[in-house]
Amino acid sequence: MGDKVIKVALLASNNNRAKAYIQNLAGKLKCVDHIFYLADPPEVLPEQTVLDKMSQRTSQVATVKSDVLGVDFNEKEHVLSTAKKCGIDVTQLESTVPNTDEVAAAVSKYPGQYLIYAGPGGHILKRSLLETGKVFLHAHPGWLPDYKGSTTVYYSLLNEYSIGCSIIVFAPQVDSGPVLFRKKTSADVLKQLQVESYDYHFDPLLRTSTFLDFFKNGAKVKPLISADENHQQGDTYYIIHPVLKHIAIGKIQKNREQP
Amino acid sequence: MGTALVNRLKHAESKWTFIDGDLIRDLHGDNLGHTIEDRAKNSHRIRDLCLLQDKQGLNVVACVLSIFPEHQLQNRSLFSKYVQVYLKTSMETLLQRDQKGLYKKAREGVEKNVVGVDIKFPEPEQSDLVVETDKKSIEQIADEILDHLGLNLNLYPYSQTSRWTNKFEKYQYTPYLGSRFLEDYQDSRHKALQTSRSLADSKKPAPVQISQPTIWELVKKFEVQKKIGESASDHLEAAHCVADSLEKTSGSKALILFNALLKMNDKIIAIYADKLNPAEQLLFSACLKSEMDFFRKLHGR
Repeated sequence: MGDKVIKVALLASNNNRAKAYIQNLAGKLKCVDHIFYLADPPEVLPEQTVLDKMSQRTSQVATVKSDVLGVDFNEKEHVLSTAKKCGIDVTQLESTVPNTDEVAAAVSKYPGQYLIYAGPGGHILKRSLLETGKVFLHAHPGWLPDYKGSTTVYYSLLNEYSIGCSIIVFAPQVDSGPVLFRKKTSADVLKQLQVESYDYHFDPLLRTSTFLDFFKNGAKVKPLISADENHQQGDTYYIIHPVLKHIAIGKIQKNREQP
Repeated sequence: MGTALVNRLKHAESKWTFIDGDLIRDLHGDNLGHTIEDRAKNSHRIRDLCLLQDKQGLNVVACVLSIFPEHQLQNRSLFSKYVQVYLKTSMETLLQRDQKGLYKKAREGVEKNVVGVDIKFPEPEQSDLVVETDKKSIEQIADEILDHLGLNLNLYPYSQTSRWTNKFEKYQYTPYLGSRFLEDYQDSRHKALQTSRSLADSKKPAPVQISQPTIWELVKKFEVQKKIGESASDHLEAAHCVADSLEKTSGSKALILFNALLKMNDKIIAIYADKLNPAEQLLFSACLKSEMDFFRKLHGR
């Protein structure tokens, strides 16, 4: 990999992360040139499907924003609506999850080299997809290599009252690919948001803000930290227990009350 | 606001749904305007959908910009139970928020039939609760409403989270339910500790010798597989190893151990608590004590 600016495709479903990505990376920076759209999973209720279809034509606005991070998105705008507005080609997939032959075949045909994953949570990209020869970029909400694993936002808050995010290349070992870009800020950035928003609003804002900074800084794909270093250093965290999560959020609440 | 409230109400015993006035317009193909006549029609549509759900035993949070006092009065006789909450907001605040740019357009004369600008807003007169929203957060407003409804969801029993480890593969995220959640957690752990101490005999548990690489393998195994072996003693031994290491560890690694210990103790309480023999009770009380000592150190209380 060398120093060059890139265009990307999104592998996405209609979730807040994908909405934030497409509205900002495509809408503002125009660096997205294709969407691979995953179908709704069967457990999505028919009513939700109707609501999602309606939201494709609704003019409702529900802006989620962070002034400190300098990013916002409209939670009501469907991913496909944004794609249409921005004139981005869409490949509609039948698969509801990323690790299928259909997805691998579709992605292999993409003329570009770089993709960003914004599909359903809880899925680790498997070898079949990683071996298509494409480079999958990911915004991990933790300062790597220190904070690998899950719910790292809260652990970082507890340990050092900071929030970090890193752009990495997907590798078979979770969060252990080469790190291309990273940033860290005080957890004061969370004070502006409502508590209910941390998981569904702040997380997409943080990842999007980091991708924006990555692209604005030239989207250099030369690693800052190699895969080996990333894998060997730092700690791996697991899904945070509710009690720890409440303590973490309590720290923000306490600081919110202080001038 | 409605979404935030319904998210909290997910943990209530009964079922709650959410209806948004704007979404009802979309549901009907957006075939109504915003004249008073069309607003009245939309109001009836909202009422009818709420009635349908009420008849099916569902509770509904309906978020509506209501300008019809007569409809509000009718609702009291139509529904099995009707609670009217008036979210009172000053025009100044509405203008500041103006998410859709509606008030700006109305003031410029671009948009017509806007309540509060060219349609009078009759303040609801017989609300069960009036919440002044100008200086309050969504969470504070939700708290006020839930208090009024008598739904003390902050007494969301901590033990219910423990029951979940039995049912779900992934440890469930708990929505933030306020500082009382932590008080309830402490109360539930105190109770479990008292129970296990009273059931234990007087022998001290033997100290555990375990090397550091193995403790991290143990934690990883438990966190990934959600269990250590099949028996109470397997889990107890693992919890005791982790508790012992926690007492000697500090910094970021201590948080990883504490996280695992919380989950292990949850699992033991949920599945094995009433099956432990006295020696196992003693071991378990040591695990609980380590957990609570660390909690107090971390939480500062």
